[in-house]
Amino acid sequence: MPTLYPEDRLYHRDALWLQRLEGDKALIGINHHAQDSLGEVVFLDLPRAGATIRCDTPLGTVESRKAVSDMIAPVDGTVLEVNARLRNEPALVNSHPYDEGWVLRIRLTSPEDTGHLHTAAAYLSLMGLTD
Amino acid sequence: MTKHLAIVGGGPAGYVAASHAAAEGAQVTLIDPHPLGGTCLHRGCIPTKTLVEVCNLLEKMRRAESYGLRMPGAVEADWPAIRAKAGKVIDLLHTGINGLMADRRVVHVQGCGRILDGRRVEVAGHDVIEADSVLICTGSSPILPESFVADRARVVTSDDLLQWDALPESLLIVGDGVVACEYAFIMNALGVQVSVVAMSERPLPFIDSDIAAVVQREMRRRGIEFINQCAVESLAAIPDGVAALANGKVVASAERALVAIGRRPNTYGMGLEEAGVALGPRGEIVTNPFMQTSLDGLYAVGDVNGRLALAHAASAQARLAVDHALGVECAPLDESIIPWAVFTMPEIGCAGMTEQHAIETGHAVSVGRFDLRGLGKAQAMSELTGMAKVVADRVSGRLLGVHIIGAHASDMVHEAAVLLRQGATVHAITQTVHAHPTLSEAIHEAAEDALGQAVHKPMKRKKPHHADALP
Repeated sequence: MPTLYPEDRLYHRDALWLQRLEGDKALIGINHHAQDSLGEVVFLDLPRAGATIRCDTPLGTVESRKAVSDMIAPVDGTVLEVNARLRNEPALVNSHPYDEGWVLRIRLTSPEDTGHLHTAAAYLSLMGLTD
Repeated sequence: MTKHLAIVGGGPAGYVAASHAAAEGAQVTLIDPHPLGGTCLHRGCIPTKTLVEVCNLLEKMRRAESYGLRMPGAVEADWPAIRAKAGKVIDLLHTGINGLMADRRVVHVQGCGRILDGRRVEVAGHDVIEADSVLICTGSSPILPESFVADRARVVTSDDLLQWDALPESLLIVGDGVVACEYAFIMNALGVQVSVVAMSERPLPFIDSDIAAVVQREMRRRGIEFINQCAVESLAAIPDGVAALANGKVVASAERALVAIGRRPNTYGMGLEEAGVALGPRGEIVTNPFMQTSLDGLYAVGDVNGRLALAHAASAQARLAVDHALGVECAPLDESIIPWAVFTMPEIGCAGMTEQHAIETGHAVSVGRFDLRGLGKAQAMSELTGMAKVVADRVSGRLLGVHIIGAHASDMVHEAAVLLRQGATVHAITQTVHAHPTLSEAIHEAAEDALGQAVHKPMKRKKPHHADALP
């Protein structure tokens, strides 16, 4: 069974994960715990390519049948690409939170500045969760 | 002795004034060159609400499968048939108004009234009409600046749009108010690609920002482009369409354009300046709280006085002006608590102060919010989008405003309107049992949230600090 919190991601205390890509690029998505709490995601209101996101402030909203929640940016950055599949298949966030359901591809403003993010183990401990 | 009222204009101000005055025993002459009902019935509220209802049904039918209904084939909007449906509704209501006027023996003079003074009106082809008082109820018209008239066939206002024989592929809407936003959702639902170019940051800049944020999110969800903080200077004809220009650059283009940048009071060509009637900077007739103008005997009611551009405000002002003119005991309206209904998708109902306004006017506020999707009724209806927001004074607990977006919001808001009029506290809502399952439970939950704890929201683990919570 695949892990619910892959170790190659960094986790913001709110709900988003970050995966470092080459150079200053990174992917952002919604972690298992958040998607599971939300239930079936029906719409994501996301910034456009070119927009800037600011750490610890809302970058958009995710809407499920149960709730509308702000998505809190895990880092400062610039949006390079929005996962276009989420427009018609928002529930990919539930079924594939770490791969096909990724949300944004970004350029990190300060690639070295990710010390506030947690490893999978630290996130699980922080949230009192088990993988 | 029977008093005689002459009323110029037969919309929701004029015909309501006529009906009320006749019921109070007055003799009434109603002057209007057009069929009674005004913009509201013929070109505004009623036809657009018919369109919104058609669009809501269309959207539900498109989601039929999610309700467990099989519908062979796709549902399609048939614009001429939809127009005909709106026309039927207009005809029915128009007949109803005519019936009311006949029942009350109101004399309808078909013609344009010219004000001679506060007691005399001239109508071409008729003797001068002499009355004890005159009410001007001539309404307003859409503003269409010269620089926007690139091509009159392609550039329209809300007065002309309903005359279209066919819908365009794409529509550019200039404006950010009620008309602009309602038509943005209507046309989008009917399959038209819509771009809205707005001066403000958010749609409906006068409503509570939390509600406007939901409207903006719904626009994005539906693919309505909202170009904000952009002052359109002109519209230019381009091959196969119209382009909007700001700072000399094209900011948006489409097959046709709707200009919805506001309305101007209908005060021209009525002899008002010659009669010495005081007009305001926007051409509106200046009135006191009893709707009296600067001329003795002359009243101005509805859009024409520039106070509130709302049909129901016009009707309320009409009753007040008639009572005052007939010497019936009356008191000025509290215009700050007149509810608003905006028929975006979903619709909006508001009464009282926005959170921002409450703060600007010096209130320490306590705010409660509740998302409609937390209600069993909303889930059963599959009408998930929306919220109720309650704004209260933190010190006194007095209810200051209620703002709702979601299915039936315009019907739900009147609970708040009554309480605001009574000067009630937010406890009046929490202590009133609301039926289950209903959408009105959202108001109850939002009021509980304003007090610190809503039953159907995640529990606030920390006890609210005493300064942040209502007593």
